[in-house]
Amino acid sequence: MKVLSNKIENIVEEQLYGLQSSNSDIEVRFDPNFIIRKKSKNKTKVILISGGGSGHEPLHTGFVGYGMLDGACPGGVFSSPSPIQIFECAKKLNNGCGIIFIVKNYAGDIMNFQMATEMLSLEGIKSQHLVVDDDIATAIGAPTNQRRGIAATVIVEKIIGAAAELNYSFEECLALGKKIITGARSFGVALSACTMYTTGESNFKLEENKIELGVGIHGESGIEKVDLMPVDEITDVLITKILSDKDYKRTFNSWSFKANKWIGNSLISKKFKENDEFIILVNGLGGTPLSELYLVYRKLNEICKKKHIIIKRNLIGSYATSLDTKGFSISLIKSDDEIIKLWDKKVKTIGLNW
Amino acid sequence: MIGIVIVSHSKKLAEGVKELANQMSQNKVPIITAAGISEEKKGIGTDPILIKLAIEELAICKEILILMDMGSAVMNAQLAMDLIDAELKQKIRLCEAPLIEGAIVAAVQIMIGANIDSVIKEAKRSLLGKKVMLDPKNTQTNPLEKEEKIDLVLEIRVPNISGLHARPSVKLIAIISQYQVNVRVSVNNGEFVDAHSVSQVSTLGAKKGDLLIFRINGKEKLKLKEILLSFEKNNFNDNDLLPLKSIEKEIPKKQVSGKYSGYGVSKGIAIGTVKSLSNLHIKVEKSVIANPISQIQELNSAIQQVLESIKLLQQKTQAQYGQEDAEIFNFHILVLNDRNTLNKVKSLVHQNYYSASYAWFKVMTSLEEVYLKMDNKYIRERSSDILEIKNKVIDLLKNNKNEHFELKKPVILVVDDIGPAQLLSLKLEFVKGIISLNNTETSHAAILSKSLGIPLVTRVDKAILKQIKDKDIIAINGFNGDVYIHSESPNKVEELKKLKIEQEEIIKEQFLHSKKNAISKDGSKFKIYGNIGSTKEGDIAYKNGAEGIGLYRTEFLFMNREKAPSEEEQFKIYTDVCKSVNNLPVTIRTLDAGGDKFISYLGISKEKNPSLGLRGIRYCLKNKAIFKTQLKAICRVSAKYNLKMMYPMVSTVEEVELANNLLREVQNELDTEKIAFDKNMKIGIMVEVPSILFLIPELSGMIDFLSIGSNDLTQYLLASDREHQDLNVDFNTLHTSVLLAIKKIIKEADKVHLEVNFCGELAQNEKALKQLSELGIRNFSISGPSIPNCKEKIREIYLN
Amino acid sequence: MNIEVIKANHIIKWFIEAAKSMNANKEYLTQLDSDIGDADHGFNMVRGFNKVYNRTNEFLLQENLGILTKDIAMTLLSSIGGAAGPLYGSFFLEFSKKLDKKTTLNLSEFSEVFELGTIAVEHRGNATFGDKTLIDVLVPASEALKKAVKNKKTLAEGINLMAKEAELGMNATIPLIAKKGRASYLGVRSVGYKDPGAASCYFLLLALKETMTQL
Repeated sequence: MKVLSNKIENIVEEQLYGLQSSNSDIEVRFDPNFIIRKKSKNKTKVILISGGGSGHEPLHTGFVGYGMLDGACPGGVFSSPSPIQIFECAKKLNNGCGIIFIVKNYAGDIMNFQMATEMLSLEGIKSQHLVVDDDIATAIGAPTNQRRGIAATVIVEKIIGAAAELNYSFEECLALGKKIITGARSFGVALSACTMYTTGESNFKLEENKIELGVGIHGESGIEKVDLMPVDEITDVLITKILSDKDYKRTFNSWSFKANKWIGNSLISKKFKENDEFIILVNGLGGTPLSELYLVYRKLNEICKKKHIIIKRNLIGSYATSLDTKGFSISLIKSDDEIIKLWDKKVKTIGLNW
Repeated sequence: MIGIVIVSHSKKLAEGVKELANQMSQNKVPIITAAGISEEKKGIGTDPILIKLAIEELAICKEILILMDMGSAVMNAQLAMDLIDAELKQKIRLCEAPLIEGAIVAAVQIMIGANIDSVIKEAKRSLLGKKVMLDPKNTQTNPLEKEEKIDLVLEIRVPNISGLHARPSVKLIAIISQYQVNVRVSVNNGEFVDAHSVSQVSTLGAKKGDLLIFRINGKEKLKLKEILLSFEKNNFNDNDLLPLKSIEKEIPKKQVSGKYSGYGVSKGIAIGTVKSLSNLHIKVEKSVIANPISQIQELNSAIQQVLESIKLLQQKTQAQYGQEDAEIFNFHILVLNDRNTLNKVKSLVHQNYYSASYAWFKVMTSLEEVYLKMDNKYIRERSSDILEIKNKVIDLLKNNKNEHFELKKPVILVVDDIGPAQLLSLKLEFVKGIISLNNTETSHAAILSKSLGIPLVTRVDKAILKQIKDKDIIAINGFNGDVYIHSESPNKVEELKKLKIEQEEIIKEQFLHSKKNAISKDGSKFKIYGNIGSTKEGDIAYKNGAEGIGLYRTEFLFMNREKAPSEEEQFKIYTDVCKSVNNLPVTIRTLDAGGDKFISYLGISKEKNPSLGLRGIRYCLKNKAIFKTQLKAICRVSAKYNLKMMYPMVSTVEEVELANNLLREVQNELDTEKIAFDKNMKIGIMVEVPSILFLIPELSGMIDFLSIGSNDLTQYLLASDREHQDLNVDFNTLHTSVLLAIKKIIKEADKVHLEVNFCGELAQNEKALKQLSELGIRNFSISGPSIPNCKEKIREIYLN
Repeated sequence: MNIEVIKANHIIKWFIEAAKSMNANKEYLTQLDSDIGDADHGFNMVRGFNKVYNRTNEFLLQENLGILTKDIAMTLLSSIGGAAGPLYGSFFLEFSKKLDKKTTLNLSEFSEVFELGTIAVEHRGNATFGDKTLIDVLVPASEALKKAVKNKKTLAEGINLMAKEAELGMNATIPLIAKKGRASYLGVRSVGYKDPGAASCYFLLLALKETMTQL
């Protein structure tokens, strides 16, 4: 597949230059690469930083701004950023009120953010992790903490972003984050694999009449290949999987500033029930037209009504992409009044703006 | 099954490609051609109808792969697709792989069972092979190193009576570890576990008749499959005798007052003072540390040290007590090397920041518990070994000084549990007897105590603990399991004392009797010697009246270890052997490795014909360093002890010449170093290879005696493998040709005044014994326990 | 090779060799990583090692092994990216901790810091032997070094033995099921593929062997 690029080695850097020269509300730093909000008026808010591989835009660099992220660290395409990037970004933004890293659950991301937290701790800067693991498709089960973090990360960043703007405390933000994360479930499907800059081709091939269920956002293959079906049926398959996902327990590590080490905490996501309320995200993976996402939502809405799933808010569009993958994911994030209130709050970023 | 359609402009080309692909895939893949145009299909071109028909021929296939040469072949294939009904169309894949290379690779992939995606992927990559061959820069980075992705599934039924207990588990894992594979195994389709881990395999609890399912992957999976199948055929190398010997004995519930009953394991009576070893259940309290990395470093080091000490112990045991006893420690070694266990311990340190000692304690204690819950008693009693290993590592991690429990005087040990390593680490001359609460009669410690000749009573009534303390006098009866405390039942203790003295008298008498010479009815004097492989066997042979050792096999000293024993080690063991027979004459045979005696570090590569290859003296002559080390040790021992030496597998005069030259070299070196040795040590050879029959006159100047090895002599004379099941050779009698050969040997030896000995278990056969005696043989060497019987038989012979 | 100790200039030569190797094997590593990953490993390793290579002249001025290896560690950490960054970074960071003020490393000392580096990678990656990662190369390599020390081998012999075991370890990852990293999402479908991290680790250790052989 054709892509737009100059020299492959410079892709990320050049994209960041493009970002910098087009947007006056954010500051782009190079070597190490990171993006920060320009002067935030609120000097006593909790700082929110996220990051991950490039190639998922607008996630995360497109979400830096009022009401969402204070900083984002882009790594190479589909590669985690280095601890140095994260460390420098955090140091620049540090205002003494605590830094929360929103980390998608991948080995690379976790390790790099952990190292950054340790480095910050050595300098007396307090930081903590919120690990997002909404992808129920990830094959290996609970004991090895393998569920990937995908589209729900957008929701997490929005809600916590709003909370931070409202001066929620460090602990309150973390508690809120855990609440959202344990109520988030996603499942994706691809019609085609993305074109990798490194090889010039896709990592896996999908025939004309096949689709891949349970894809992530890094161009890797999913869990099952099935025949192409009408979009209504695909939507049905996805939402059914999400609604039938059982209680899920996993352990994540939190940093103990005092003890200077990582301590495991158990988190449980309860199975969704009838009459639960949700924010629903129909997320395009980059290569699917917006119009097709509305087809998905049409059926999704119908099914949810039938199953007494209450949709409080929806978001439809390409927010957590995977380069040019044709496909989409459905995310259900359990909501309550607090979460809806925060969702509705003003946000001013490239990716979300209201 | 996936089928292939080959679409080409040229019929000849298509047929040729099909032929190649069929050859590579052993004709196992359906391949149809659709090539050429016009009725006779002789024109160059492609026809969509032909293609359609070809596809329809493969309608029964699960999927159909279409390979095309170029241009209109592709268009017509696509056209053909439109003409086909929807259902069939779904099965079709058009593949852009190069026609020839793609077809061949695809056919091979289909044959081995790859799924359609893999087939297509591989077909598309099929040009890489050539690329790599032509571009030398790429040789190191050949992407075509892909292994089979499919597991080889092997089903085996557990054949032996006792099931997959510790011993066969150890053997199984030893087999698997020799191959480059990854293996998982399950019982009766249950959960799959890591087949490289002894803790996982031995706790599967597989019983006789259970189905073991192996999933094997890796380069050598086919080789391993063969070996596993023969392991199954060999009854998992289990002799099935054990369960008959050791039925769970009922300990009488009704206790006669003053008697504490247990199960008598190792025969013998002991009276002495109590010493309890109650340091066996070390408990480690939970502790959290700051630096997990240094903890793991310490853990690695402690495990390594314990492994080394166990290996040393195993080598010592091998030399002193023989192979069976030494094999006890294979389980210890596997447990210490068990990745599964080690990973669990490491996780606790890395994630929970537990101290290494606590993490180790926690994991090993739950492993112990798993073993204790097993149905199979042979697995259950392995918990003793786990406990011992657990404690040894903890002692090192915690710097416990009391690991070396020093006995200062003779005692009777009272333990809740004792492991084999701990037993061997004690000053055995001070251990008069042992009472154990938990050890079973088939536990490793029990097996060892039998070899050590230490009376052991197991599963003693726990009530005894309340009644005794250190320094109390007790009496134990290893024959029936009775235990008495002097303070409670002084009479009983006196009784046992008397019984002990009586027993000792009986043994003395038996010994004196056995020492009597074997003289036949006509007055011919015979000398009966022992065949041994360890100090223990030397001891047994001596006690059975051996007049010396006719064959001391030294290869056992070289087995089950990672490198050859040093000169010092050999010197010590050979000395011990000589001591065990109270300095009666000992004939030591130099290293007889190779053939069926495989010793890994000796570097003997796989031979087509091991019995006709590099073995015996030939190996030693080619590996002078190892040989000379052994010769040196033997010479040094000869200074103080009555030692003779013989070379094995001699087939030519040159071999003896060369060997004797090396001996002289060694003796000269010793002279220079002013180290004493017997200058007149007698040298002999084993007569096993038939060529010797004709070389005796030539050899007479170089050697002092001959030792007939009847087993190998028979095998070489009759060109028959004694282990072969389909041959009709009876190795239990003297074959005519063998008899004639021996006749010739004796005749030739007589002419040149060479002494002739006979080494071979055949001497146990009454008829053979008579025949051999009639031929003139007076010196026989057989296994220790067979000596008294042999002497008796001789006493019944009348020779003319 | 007759030298008995590793010095700073040897380490630098090692990394020059390693950079060459990563560049030469970039496509191969990319291939391995697209089979069971997201195709970025080759690029990441090249980026990181090129960064170290570009600082060669700077590094040549440093004789203190602790400072040198820490510097290298931080360079790798900040430029490899992905999961490999923290792992290789942690290895050399731990490596460097015991080397402050040291200017030479004999086999025994090298073995010790190598073991510590390996443990640090296990710690950071939360993985163990058998998970189908670079640890499957580091652990046998470390054990080979320890064994060489015990058997009183020379530095050259020790490193040769280490490289041999490293290669065996890399190949042993092929039939394993991945338990960590992106490959783990494939479960049993990861069987039959060599782990890219194990491959790059082997190339790194092989580069050390080649460096020492050329001396």
